[in-house]
Amino acid sequence: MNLKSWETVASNLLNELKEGESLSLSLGAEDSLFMRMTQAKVRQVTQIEQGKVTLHFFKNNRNLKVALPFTFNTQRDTKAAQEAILSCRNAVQILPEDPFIQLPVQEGQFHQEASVLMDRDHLMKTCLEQAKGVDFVGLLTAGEIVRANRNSAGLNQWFKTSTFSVDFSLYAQNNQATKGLYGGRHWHDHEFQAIMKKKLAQLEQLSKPIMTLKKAKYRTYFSPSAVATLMSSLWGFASRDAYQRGQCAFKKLVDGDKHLSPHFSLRENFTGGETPPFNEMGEMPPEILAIVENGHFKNLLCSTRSAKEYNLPSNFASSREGLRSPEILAGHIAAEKELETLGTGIYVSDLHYLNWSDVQQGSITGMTRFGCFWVEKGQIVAPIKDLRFDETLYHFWGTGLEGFTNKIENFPSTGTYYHRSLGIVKAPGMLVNDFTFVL
Amino acid sequence: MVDLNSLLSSLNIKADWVGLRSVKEQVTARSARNGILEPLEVDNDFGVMVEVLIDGQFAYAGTCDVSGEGVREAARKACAQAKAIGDYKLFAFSESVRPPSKGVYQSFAHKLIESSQQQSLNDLAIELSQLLKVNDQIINTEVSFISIEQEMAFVSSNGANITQKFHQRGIQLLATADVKGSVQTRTNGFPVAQGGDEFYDADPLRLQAHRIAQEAIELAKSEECPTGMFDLLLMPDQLYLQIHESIGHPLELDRILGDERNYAGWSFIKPEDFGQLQYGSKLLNVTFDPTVPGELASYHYDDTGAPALRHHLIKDGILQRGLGGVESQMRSKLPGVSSARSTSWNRAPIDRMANLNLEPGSSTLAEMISATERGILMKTNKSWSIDDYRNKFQFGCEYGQLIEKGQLTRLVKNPNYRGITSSFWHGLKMVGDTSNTEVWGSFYCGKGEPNQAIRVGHATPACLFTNVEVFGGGAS
Repeated sequence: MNLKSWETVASNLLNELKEGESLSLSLGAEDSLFMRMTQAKVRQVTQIEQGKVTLHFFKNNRNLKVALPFTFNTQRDTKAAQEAILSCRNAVQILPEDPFIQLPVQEGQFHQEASVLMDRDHLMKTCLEQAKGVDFVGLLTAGEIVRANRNSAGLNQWFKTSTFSVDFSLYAQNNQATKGLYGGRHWHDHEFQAIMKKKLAQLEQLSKPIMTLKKAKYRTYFSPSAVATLMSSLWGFASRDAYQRGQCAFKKLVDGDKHLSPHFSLRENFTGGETPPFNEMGEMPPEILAIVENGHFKNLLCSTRSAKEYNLPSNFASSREGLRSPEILAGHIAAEKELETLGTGIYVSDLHYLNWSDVQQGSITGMTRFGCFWVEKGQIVAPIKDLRFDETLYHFWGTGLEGFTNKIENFPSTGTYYHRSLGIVKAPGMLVNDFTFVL
Repeated sequence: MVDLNSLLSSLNIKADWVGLRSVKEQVTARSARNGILEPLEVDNDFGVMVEVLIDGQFAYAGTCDVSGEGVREAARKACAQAKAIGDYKLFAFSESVRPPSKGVYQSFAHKLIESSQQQSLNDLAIELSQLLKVNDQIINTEVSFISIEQEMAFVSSNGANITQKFHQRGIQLLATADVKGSVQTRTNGFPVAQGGDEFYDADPLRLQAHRIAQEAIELAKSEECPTGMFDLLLMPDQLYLQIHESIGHPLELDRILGDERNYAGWSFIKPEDFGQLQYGSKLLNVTFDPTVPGELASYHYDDTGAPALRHHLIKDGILQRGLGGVESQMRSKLPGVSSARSTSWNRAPIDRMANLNLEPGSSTLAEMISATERGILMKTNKSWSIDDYRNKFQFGCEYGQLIEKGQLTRLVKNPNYRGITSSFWHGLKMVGDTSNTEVWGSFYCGKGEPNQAIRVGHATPACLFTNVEVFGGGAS
């Protein structure tokens, strides 16, 4: 996955263009190890080398996208892409003009390589050795990821990183579990050992008899992990396009019909370097973009296509207008006193299978998961049987929000549908009054 | 495609068994919004997965470099991985879990439009998105045509030689109405099928577009769904997802074995439940059936080469067998089906659904309605969520209609219901007949680590359930 072969193929293709034609090239590639474990043993191990280049072809205000495999073999990739350009030339003739066309932009040069050599065999063996004797289940992922853009306007961007993650759970004999995540760019044995030690201690808490709670409203503390799940599971709530289409959970906030808590501030934050600071068209969004500030609406994510369609300024969101590097700002609750501050109520470690139950009202349903507890007077009493909730964001980020903890945790994306995802969610813990559990 | 047998012969590796699986796929997404064609998207994918078995441990290496050199390098990597983790293997497999099947399969397609003639599909998408806007109360319309052409091939050192070609299609029509601030979206439910471009039949789609838009407006004007315990008549375009989530996933053997505990979840089903458990009422009959023509996940062989056969998973309400391929059957000593499937060349096969069907009973729709004193009919899935053991679920639908004293009456918006899997299926009161049976499915069923989104089919009649918790929008 080297820059030189990408640049050669891209240059070859850009040189192919005829008058009146424009082209954007977008590359995603990876060399990844996946080791799937259950009962601290290996169920499956897979190595994947794959690349995909998307050609976005423009002519006479018409455009289409064609994606094809990219192997970093200059000759073969050039030939395949040249054939794709020929097919684009034919296909574009039968397309109507696109009034919202997003032509290639010149955002200059960007080059970032944070690729470190990882001894993947060492990671595998360390992981398995640490897990010995425990009912450990999960996935080790490690390897290089590339994102790059070139276009006929002169744009040239290259982002290469090496990342790993161990996304795992430890199960107790009563089938209660605790969830762990170790991820980043630099593996240190002692860091993984420390996480395992902490999770094993939590497992002991889970061995107590399970308590079944009635459906009701409870004072509830959400761990940073649960807050991150909440952030990353819900689509479209900060999208301009979704707003215009009548599918935006923030509509009442945007329209001024409802407000959120002054404790709640949400922003896109690209300053950490974990996520490529450009979208698939190569556009560079602001390093920091406030979505909500102290409860007040500031911005929706707006792609250039939406900007054209709705006659608004673009903030260079991706075409999907999803949060790529979201951060909820820390609050005033001491993170180390989370149980004390909760007092009596539910401690939610993780959430599962979230979905909008009524997007117009900002209502969300989902389940508690992985070692959640009933707490009394700041002390854990017992793990609880999973509960279903159905609550509106105007309550848990609004009237019911007591505050966030003063410590933010980072949650690198572990998504691997089709390819490994990049991105990070930064979230503190969250305390909510009268959170509604329904089943 | 590449010649997999030649590639297999060219591998210079020491392994107890080797398999090569190639997948070549083209997905064309054609969308129009509010009368404007969005940029056409054509995604071409092609790669080879090398599987090796060494001392009982499978290892996989996939590459999109399908040259001899690329595949040989992948094979070397797979061997190295299998050896590296040999001491940590979960289970010692043999080549018997890779049947040496030989054969071909091809989806039936009445019509395949040449690329040079695809303007007709562009024009149809634009026209439908215009037709959906029946008046100014419609604020957004969307049309999507998804066309998939896929060819997979599988060869192995013990003689497997399989080729399967799939034509798959999906259509979404959507209209959102805003009537004095009441916003409702109505869709056609996103039907999917195996077949060709006959799926894009203009006249029925025009009628559908008009109906959907009118219903969106009517729903926006309608009252909120009431809250309480009601009998629930689920139409096939909602029930298929209920089957998927609360029967399909919990019956996956890899979930029951615990492989999915970190991601998709476990199951309330225990190994000892097979052959014993009364899963639902005696009216419940569910089959794994990869032989149904036109259903999305029909095939002749799964991705390990196991021949695909129809089996009852649930018969007269009793649980019979699980959804699991040969590997899981060997590990669990439980009966399964040929359902080890991978989303593409870049993922290892795992236990999946394919075509999972609720078999028709004997009730007409009219009989089910007239048998209901106080109930709600719900159509078209809108929201779905279920816990990691597949017990506590909640679904929302686009369209609700009250049933009062055996008659369909007023429309209601934001109909939702929730329950627990076992009691819900025990409450199955009437099962529709073939006259109200429909074939649905999904392009996107997710599970697995690394993640895999796979295509599934579900056929079901309408069914009547008794005493279900129902509620409206924004109402907890």
